[in-house]
Amino acid sequence: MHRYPLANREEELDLFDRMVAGETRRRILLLQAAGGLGKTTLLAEFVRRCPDGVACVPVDLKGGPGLHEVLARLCDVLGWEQFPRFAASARRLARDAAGRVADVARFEHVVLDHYPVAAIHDLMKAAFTVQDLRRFCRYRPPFGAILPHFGEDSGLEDAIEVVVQYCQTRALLSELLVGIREARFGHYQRYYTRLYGGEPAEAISTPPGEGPTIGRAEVEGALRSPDEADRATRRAALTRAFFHDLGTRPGRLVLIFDTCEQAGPEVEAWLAGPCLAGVQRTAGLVAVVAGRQVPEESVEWTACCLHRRLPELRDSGMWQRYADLIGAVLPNPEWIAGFCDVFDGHPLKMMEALARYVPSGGRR
Amino acid sequence: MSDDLLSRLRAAGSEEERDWLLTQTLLAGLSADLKEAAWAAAVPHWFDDGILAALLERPTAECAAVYAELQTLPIVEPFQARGGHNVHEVTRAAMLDHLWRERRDEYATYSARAADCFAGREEPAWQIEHVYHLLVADPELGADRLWNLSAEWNNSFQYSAQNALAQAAAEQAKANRTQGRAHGWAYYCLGDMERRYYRHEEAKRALLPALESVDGDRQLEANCIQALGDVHMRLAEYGEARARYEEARPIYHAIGDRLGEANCDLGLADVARDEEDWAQAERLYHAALGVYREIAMPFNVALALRRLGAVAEGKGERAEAIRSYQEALDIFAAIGVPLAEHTRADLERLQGSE
Repeated sequence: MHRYPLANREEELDLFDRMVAGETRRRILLLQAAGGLGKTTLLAEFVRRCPDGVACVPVDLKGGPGLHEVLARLCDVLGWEQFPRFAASARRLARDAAGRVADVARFEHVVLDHYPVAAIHDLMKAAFTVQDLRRFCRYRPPFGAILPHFGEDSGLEDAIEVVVQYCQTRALLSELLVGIREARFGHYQRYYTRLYGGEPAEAISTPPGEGPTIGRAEVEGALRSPDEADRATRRAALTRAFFHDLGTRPGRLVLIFDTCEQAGPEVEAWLAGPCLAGVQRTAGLVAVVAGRQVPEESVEWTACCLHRRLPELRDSGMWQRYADLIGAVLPNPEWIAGFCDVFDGHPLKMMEALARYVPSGGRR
Repeated sequence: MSDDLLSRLRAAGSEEERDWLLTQTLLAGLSADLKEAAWAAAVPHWFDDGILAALLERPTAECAAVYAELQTLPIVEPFQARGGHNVHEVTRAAMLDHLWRERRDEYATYSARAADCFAGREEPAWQIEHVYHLLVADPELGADRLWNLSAEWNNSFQYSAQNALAQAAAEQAKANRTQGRAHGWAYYCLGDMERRYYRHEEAKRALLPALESVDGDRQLEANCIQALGDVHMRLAEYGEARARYEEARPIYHAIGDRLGEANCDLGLADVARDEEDWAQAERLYHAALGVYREIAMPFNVALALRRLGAVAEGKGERAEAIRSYQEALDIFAAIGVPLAEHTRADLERLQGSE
């Protein structure tokens, strides 16, 4: 498809060039316009005109990608090797989340009657001495009440039997397993398959610093949590690591976010908060955020931000040049001005109208 | 070629009419093959030669040329994240509206083919697109898939995927292309997301039409009512919240949804707590707690315990409050959520006041 000549967009192009060259203190450009006004075309031109030595990463938020997809895309394009702290942080958080999430999910789906009591018994036998088990119960309140049930000279087998029976009758087996996991993670892991019939979560993920496997799945795992406050903490940790790595990267970098109005709530909040604040803090970083709606300016980054609304393109001379470029043959040359008037210079509608007059076979 | 296009555009009665006239004129100028492909391409959110082939029921190799030709149209743009293209949103909405009103059978056919095509891959974007088309092609099955997928992603904390699914389903519902319980589930999922992100008025605006479209689906009915109760609760509209929870609870009971029942008890207990009816709050938290324990939901168990701690504190029963907070803290800490820190702070505050 032919893009229209970018006459009447000189102001935005000039501003972008100066931002990239570091000739203005503005490093964040919010570009707002209704659908079809040519944001995407202008952004494509931004990408094209980035000088050699300036990396430029366009990220289209169309379809409402998750934050993990946005971050992974940026790392994919720039190269994961440039994000050592981010990758380590993602691995650590993903491993931690995988362990906990798998457990919570398991517990939430296991009906009490189906707990593998024999496996729990064996796990406890392998994990505890009788003294350990007493200590375990003493410092974990739900089980503190079990202590009086232990006989003076109870052996390990008897003590385990008391604990398991107590937990069975009070529907505390899930809490017991959570506690064992916390206290004796290694044993818990080894008995995972017997307990749940699957692989231990820990075995699924890559230990920190080992193996090259890092990507969208790990970043997604790192951000998973049932609790909003926890997710926010995880987002903040990953964002800090991400911008730290960007800050150590040599040369200028341009991030371009398009179709901002389709961002989901988490990406929207990330963009408007930690992301643009990170851009403001990181010298050499330029961001363009475009959409029908753009983030509301925040005190954290407004000092280096410029908010532009894209105007329509009402210059019929420009549209005449576009018509010539695509080979459109209009019944009357004055129609271009007529279309411009009817559509108020709306680029998408102008292009649709003029495309109609490209002779058959002339379409390129 | 309609040489009087400019006059007709000028005579159009509304912007929508004028825009449609324009799109229609553009489509009329295409070859039959390209025109058919453009209509098919407008149905999904994105397409490539493989998707086009499925929609048109032709071999993929045959569709490569038409796919390339579609890309020359001003209404088609790249879709970076999917590695394909899409019909521009403004034009697509107008085309779908026309197809739905004038050639509904054709729309249903394309939707059925799209549902089959997008079922073929596991990525969330493909699963979402599968459900999006199924809601039109087979509303009953679509409603079930929507609920199941949404619940699955909710249970595995994949909230961005769940939100994207809700937005896609809502697109069909808002365009009135869904019917019966499919319409209801689409609005419910949207309302549920709005509620999650604290957009209370938007949540109400989605949940009320959902409730009007339950079409005998008692699970949907109870979910909508309980979600409305949650929204009222957050807005401190206690009377409305209580009424909603009391309405939802027997429905959950009737369909054997114990978690739903317990969640209603928890909501009713919250209302009682905020109204400082400690005895009622305590009774209801204990009822919810018992069920959460029975069905093994530790996060909810800890939530109920923490609130029981707050009730005991409100009643001046310090030792009982400490016991409940401690028990909640152990579970939160084991699960690894920041609520553990909040609970620890509660506990330390209480212990410090000794």
